[in-house]
Amino acid sequence: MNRRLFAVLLVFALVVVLLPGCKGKPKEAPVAPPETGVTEHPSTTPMVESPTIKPITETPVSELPDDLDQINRSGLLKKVYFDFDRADLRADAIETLNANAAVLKKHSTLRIRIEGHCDERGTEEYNISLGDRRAKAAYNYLVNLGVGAGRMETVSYGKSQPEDPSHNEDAWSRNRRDVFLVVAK
Amino acid sequence: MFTSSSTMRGKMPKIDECRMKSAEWSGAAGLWAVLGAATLTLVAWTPAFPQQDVTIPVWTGVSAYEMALPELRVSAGDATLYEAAKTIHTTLWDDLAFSGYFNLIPAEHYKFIPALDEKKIKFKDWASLQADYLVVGATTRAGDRLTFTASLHDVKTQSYVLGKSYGGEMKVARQIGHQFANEILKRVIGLDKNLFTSKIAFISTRDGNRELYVMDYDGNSQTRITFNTVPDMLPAWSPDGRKILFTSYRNNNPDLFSYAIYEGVLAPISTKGLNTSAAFSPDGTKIAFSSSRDGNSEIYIANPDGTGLRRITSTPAIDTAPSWAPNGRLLAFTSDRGGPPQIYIMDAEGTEARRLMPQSGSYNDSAAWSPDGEYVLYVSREGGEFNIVKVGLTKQTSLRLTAGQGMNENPSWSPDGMHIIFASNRSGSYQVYCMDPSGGNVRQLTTQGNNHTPRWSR
Repeated sequence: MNRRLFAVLLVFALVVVLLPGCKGKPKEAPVAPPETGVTEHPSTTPMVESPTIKPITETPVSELPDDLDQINRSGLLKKVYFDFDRADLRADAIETLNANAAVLKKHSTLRIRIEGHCDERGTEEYNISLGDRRAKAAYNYLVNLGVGAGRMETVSYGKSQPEDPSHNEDAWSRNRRDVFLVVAK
Repeated sequence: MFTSSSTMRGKMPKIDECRMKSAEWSGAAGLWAVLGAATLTLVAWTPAFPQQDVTIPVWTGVSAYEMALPELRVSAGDATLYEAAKTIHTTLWDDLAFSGYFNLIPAEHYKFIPALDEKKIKFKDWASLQADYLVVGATTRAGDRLTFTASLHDVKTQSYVLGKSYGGEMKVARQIGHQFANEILKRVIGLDKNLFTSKIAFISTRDGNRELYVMDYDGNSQTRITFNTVPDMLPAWSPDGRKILFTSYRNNNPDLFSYAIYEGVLAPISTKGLNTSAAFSPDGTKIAFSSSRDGNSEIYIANPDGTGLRRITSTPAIDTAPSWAPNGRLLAFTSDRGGPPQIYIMDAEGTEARRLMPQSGSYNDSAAWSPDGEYVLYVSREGGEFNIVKVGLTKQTSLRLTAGQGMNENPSWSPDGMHIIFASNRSGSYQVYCMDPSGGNVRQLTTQGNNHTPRWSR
């Protein structure tokens, strides 16, 4: 055999083998294309359905009775406010909590829900945890003052329930708050 | 990065496969090798699989294939059928154009090519338009039942690639278009993700207060799911797209619920303390969420029904917003253990927590791990804005995707990692937007009320 031809063939074979050397490249299948115009539609036609998304069958959310609503609107328990991104109690908040504690001790059957809220300048996920932390800051302070832990619950609304929907410093400072809601007499 | 111009006729630049590892699925090289071997050994019956110049574009803005999509054939004089055919055609067109894998050749370039019979395609006509692929489709009907038959052809090799037939009521025309578009992506790109039938869950205030909604990936069919007077929040999909985890105050406490959207079954998952920011593991066998049930916000892992609950963080700090890595072994999450909230990564057992690097900004939250595992998005507060930042894990890169347009929050990846949805108040109210992973091609998906926390199904 002609050695030169052999060498050429060898190089050619190597090139063929190594050409698709780019790692991960799918190998091309040497499949002859089917005759032009020949199609292979499936013999059965699948039925397409657009599944219906069902709404939730709701039951009414329990709301506070009118008499409690009235107590809450009378401002028996005062709100406390927080600094930006903070959950520690400011001096004015401590003053308010002392007054709230006195009211709760005087009306010893009242049960309350402490709602923690945030302004809009935080993210959804972090804010809702920050609101939780704010509600618990007031809760822990009231427990330390001797208000029974069993009379209080906490809930965070994050930034979902602003008191003032405006986008300014004044609104933000009023939205960073704990609200004390009487839920039972 | 190449750019494309919609007015440019002819071949779009293609990217050498060797240079596009970043867009590959992890483990794709091995998979391709296996597929390649299988193709070689099973040559005898393997259908034509046009791989001659497969390139997957690096993000979007690069159209790898030129696609001709002439109008569908309709039996004459049937207005109802004509409308359905138009819906299917428009859906297919929009899907393929949106995908970023195709450049749709404008119809005016081929309206003079005679009506198509798939058995007599004049490939030379289509080759003269420099089309890579051609779709030939027809609709017929019997009574109220619509049948759509279509085939995909490789123009260069003049070969048939794929044929499908779908039937259904007239009203499922859009669904049919999406399904055939899924098939085209599966065959041409090898992308088995059903992108075009994926859905987006989000929260909207359009009906008064925060309610849970679902829409198609393209913003169509916006459907309200909750009807109550209390906030519903932070939805998350199961990998099969049949369940949504969300936080609701329906029992006057932020409880975590699971809702089977097609069965209509609502189940409580965690109801003590604050329960929020839930996420299904990629294989659907676990859920992660944040709860203050033991005192302060910590991350918990549980079975999808809430059993087998396990706390995996234990700090006095807020730990929240878990996002699973696609391998299910790592979680990105938010913690203020170091002061202000930052993104951390830990393993799914809760150990080996370390701060995501690189990471700038003093207030970061809402991590979203990309489907290929390479990128983590997060939201960073910068002055009076929130912006979305993309971190590349291997090369330690950081790229801000939004800037100068107000609040941009809660990013979520498309199933193929080629698109990102997020909520932004750039128009004044909060709306859901979609962009490509470099921040371009922004389009708005919602218009009514305020819309928050979008999550793309897998």
